[in-house]
Amino acid sequence: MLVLVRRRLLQLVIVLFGLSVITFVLMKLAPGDPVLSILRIDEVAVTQADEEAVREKLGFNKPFLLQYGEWLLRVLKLDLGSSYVNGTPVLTLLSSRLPLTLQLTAGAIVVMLALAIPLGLLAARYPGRWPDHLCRIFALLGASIPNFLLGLLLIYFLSYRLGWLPTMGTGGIRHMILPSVTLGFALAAVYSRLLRSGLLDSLAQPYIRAARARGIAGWRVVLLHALRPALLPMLAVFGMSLGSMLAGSVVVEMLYAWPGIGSLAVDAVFQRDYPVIQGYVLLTGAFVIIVNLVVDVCYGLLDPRISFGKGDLQ
Amino acid sequence: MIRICHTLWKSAIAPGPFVMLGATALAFLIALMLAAPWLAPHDPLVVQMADRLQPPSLTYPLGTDHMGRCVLSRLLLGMQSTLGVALLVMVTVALIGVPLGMLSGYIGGRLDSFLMRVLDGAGALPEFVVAIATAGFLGPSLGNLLVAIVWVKWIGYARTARGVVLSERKKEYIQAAQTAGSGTWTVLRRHLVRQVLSPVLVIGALDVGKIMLIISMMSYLGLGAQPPAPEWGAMLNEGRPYFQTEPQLMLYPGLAICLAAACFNLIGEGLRDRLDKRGGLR
Repeated sequence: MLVLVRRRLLQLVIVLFGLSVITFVLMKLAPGDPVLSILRIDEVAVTQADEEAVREKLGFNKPFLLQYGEWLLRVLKLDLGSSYVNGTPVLTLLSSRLPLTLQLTAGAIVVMLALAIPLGLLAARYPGRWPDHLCRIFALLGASIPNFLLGLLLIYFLSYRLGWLPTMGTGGIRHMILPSVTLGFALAAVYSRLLRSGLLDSLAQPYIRAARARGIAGWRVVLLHALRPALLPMLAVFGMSLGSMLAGSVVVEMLYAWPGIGSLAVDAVFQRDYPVIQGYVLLTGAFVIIVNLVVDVCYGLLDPRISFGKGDLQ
Repeated sequence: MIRICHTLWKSAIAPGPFVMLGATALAFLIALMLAAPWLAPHDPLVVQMADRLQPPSLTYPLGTDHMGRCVLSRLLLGMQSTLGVALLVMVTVALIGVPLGMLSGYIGGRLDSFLMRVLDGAGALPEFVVAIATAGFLGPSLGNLLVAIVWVKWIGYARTARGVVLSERKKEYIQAAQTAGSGTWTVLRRHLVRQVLSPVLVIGALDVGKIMLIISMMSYLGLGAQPPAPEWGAMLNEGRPYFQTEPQLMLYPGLAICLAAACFNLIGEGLRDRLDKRGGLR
């Protein structure tokens, strides 16, 4: 276990280092002169002397590697620079908007569990019958429907035509419903299938037959004996679905004017606000990598069959 | 080449109703895509401001958009940049990932551990974050988006191919081939390609759907194909201001994306079920 954690931590450091190099190089490659963009905020005529002064201040006339080193030191101190557009520190921007994205993600996970667990249970309890077919159709729909289309349909019918729910913005729980459903729907499709196949696997095990032989029947076997091992694969995939959740959150945030970090990033791309984009990429990249590490460790703790000796890690 | 076709055919034969349904619908869509230049009643880029936001008519079977362009023509020609590009990207990443993964799994040693490090590193970031980074720093365009997708997607193919080769490498028929004097290239081409093909086909089919969704999603956000290109996601994006009065402008391309993605998902899921039953995967 410790071997795994140590190894993954080392890998984490290497990958984060790579991430920092890539974002730094991309930022340098980006078209347009950042010095001019900064000066343009004030909307006064730019003189050669002003330009030189800013260049000097930002250290842009130093050698490349030195610039990278200084930048990395600043990033490690959580100083991600300031937005080109309004001069606000990137860290402030990100941290003021992160809670809303997390709130949205939590809502989506609730929707996902509320849909996926009953569907998966029903499908595995009655394989080959109508609940199973329903689950299959739901999964196909969830994997095929683009989240922006789903969101638009929900807005059009539930809030524009029927007026049941607010279209956009943040507020109470009513504002959360549509964004959470939009984001959680595709996930629910994946996880219901995953739960179904996990349940079918564990229902085929000898201990289930033993439980049935002891007279424990029907739903009791499924819920008390088969469900627990079937939940493990869901945990394993969770790290991977973070990527699609991030992508989905951007679409949902744009769709419902939800001021999270996703809409911040898209706005930054349109405004060529490189420090903000860089901050978003660093933050989400690090987040995904760390969550994956945590998931792996939890997986090892929950499933004692997995031992992380030296040979098993490949 | 003939052998590869044969293996492909064998893994696709009697593929079950879902795969058949998906494949038939897909064949129909591809035929439409190829015939689009002749089928489209109008030029998808010609702006007719006098005819803007027309309802369906004989001249414009699905009506016109906010610039008076024929929606049907745009849908038909937009297939190339959504469906066609997604197919092309899938083939590209498979051609990069599969040979590298196979070679690395077969040769092993330093090459293999190096490749594994590369895979871990490059695969650590979800494709969406890479796509935002390229769109953000290099500018939003379809080309940059495709670079981001290829950068992330080849990893899955390399991993799968490597895994299959690793599990097959020690089997007797490979050892027999090696003893008989077959070189690396021959063993890979003659014996291992056919083992790798079926799982790659499954991932490929599922991936085309995912790639289509991400291309149209980024285009919808305005970070992929740029207007006036008739890409489906971009069409949705352009229809956004007219959403409340003309919802069909967004509904048609949205449904088209959904339908095409469903075809690939049907094929992929069906093939995967078959492979699972044969004990080929997992």
